[in-house]
Amino acid sequence: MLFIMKIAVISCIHANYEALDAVLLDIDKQKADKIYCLGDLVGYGPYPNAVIEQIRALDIPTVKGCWDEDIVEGLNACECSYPSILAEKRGKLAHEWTDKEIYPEHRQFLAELPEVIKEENLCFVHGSSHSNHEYLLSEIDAFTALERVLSAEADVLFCGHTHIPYVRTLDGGKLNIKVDGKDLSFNAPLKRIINAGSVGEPRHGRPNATYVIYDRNSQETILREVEYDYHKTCQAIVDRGLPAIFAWRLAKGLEYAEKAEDASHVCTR
Amino acid sequence: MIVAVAGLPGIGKTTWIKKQIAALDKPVRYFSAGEGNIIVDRTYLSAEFPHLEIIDEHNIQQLLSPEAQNITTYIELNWSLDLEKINPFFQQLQCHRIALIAASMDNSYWADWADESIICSSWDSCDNLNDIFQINSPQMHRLLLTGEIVDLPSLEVFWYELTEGAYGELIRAKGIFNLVDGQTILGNYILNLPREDFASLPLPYNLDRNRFSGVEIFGKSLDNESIVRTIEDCCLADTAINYYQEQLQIAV
Repeated sequence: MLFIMKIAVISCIHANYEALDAVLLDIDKQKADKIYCLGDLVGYGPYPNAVIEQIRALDIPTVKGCWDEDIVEGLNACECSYPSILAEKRGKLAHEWTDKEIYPEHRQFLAELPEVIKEENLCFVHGSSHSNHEYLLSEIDAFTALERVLSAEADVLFCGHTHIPYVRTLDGGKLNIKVDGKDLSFNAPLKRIINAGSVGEPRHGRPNATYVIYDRNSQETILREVEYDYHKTCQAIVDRGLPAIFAWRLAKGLEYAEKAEDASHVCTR
Repeated sequence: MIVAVAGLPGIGKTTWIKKQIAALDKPVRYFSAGEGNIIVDRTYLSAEFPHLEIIDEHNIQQLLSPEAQNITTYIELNWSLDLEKINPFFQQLQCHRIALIAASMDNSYWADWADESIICSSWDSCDNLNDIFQINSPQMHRLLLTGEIVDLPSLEVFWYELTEGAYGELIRAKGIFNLVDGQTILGNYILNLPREDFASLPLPYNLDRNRFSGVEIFGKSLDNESIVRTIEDCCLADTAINYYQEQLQIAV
């Protein structure tokens, strides 16, 4: 592991094979030593099987995303997954479509994905260290953010799920607690949350794929944005019988449905 | 005095009439011709002016009586009406005809009909109005939603998609929607103008589900099937409405 200095972290591919292909080419150009994937291989997009085949073929360490979990266990979304009934109906439609399309061996592959991957001081999760349904938005309060990294027992927590890439450095980590009348304080060392954005379903206002390059030596983080022929994905969405509105939203960089906006919300499941 | 007002969709007919009514301190009547059962303008003006007397299509004959001239009456003509076809009625009616027109297009259709033309600015940001309104036969879609309660976050997503062109080339949209807490809101959009937030109408909160709700959408190459399906997906199920409103009534 020590000789692996530069890693690429990808997330939320959502069955968008064209985007994954472009990102893998870009990772190759960046000369990353290893790739990690934060889940949500399937859901909304038109190529769930092709994406899983590619991830398996390249033997990319991957954690289970909420969409992967739902394809294995059935729909199990909590209230923070859908901010409107329209989003919920669209999400269910996409789930049912994917559920019919997915090959049995791919479902089994998703079932066997771990919830968390730990590599020394790095932790890889889909949503948060508590739940792969939880949104760690960049604006989440500092206490919650720090708690999520500490509970992962890591210095750097890589997550996805929100589809918006960011790096958040937590350098004021002092906790004061009172136990049996005694005041105790702890100083947490510098921690980071790095969100890898989304390969296949961006929501930053452009259709481009995003992912992250992280240098373990220098701790430099590069948020990569990769152009690809999203028109092909849009056409496939329509051709394969998914709702045309998914294609329109993808082309606008709006996500297929929509996402929770409440940064203060902490998933209690 | 009876005043009839005609013009393009979105030119500002209802807004112009609203200003006239607001400036009067005597009884006023209003008749919206051609609105059919999508009574967005009528509902909006009734909410703004609770004492406004509404004339509906069943009793328009009263406008022909000599006494009708004693009460100020505004007639708003929906864009979909053919001015030539309704001309016989207006020839019997003693009224002042006003056309609200856009500066940048051929207005002869309206100007020939009107006694007075007033230039309005709501379409000033479009420099191809003749193309917009005369080529490729724009479509008008009307959807009655009375009895339905919409989920506001869902409606906001739909309205964003609609006004950004997800369902075709939108020119004009207006709608009145009822929310589960008893509010009634107005959505209003004109091509090339900034999208406005939904406005809450100044009406008492009302849990009666028979309040009017509906939307009128005007544009080109509109995917009507998807529009209808998406609006239906924005509507709350009866069980959700009943549960919420029971809780609301207990709380009140």
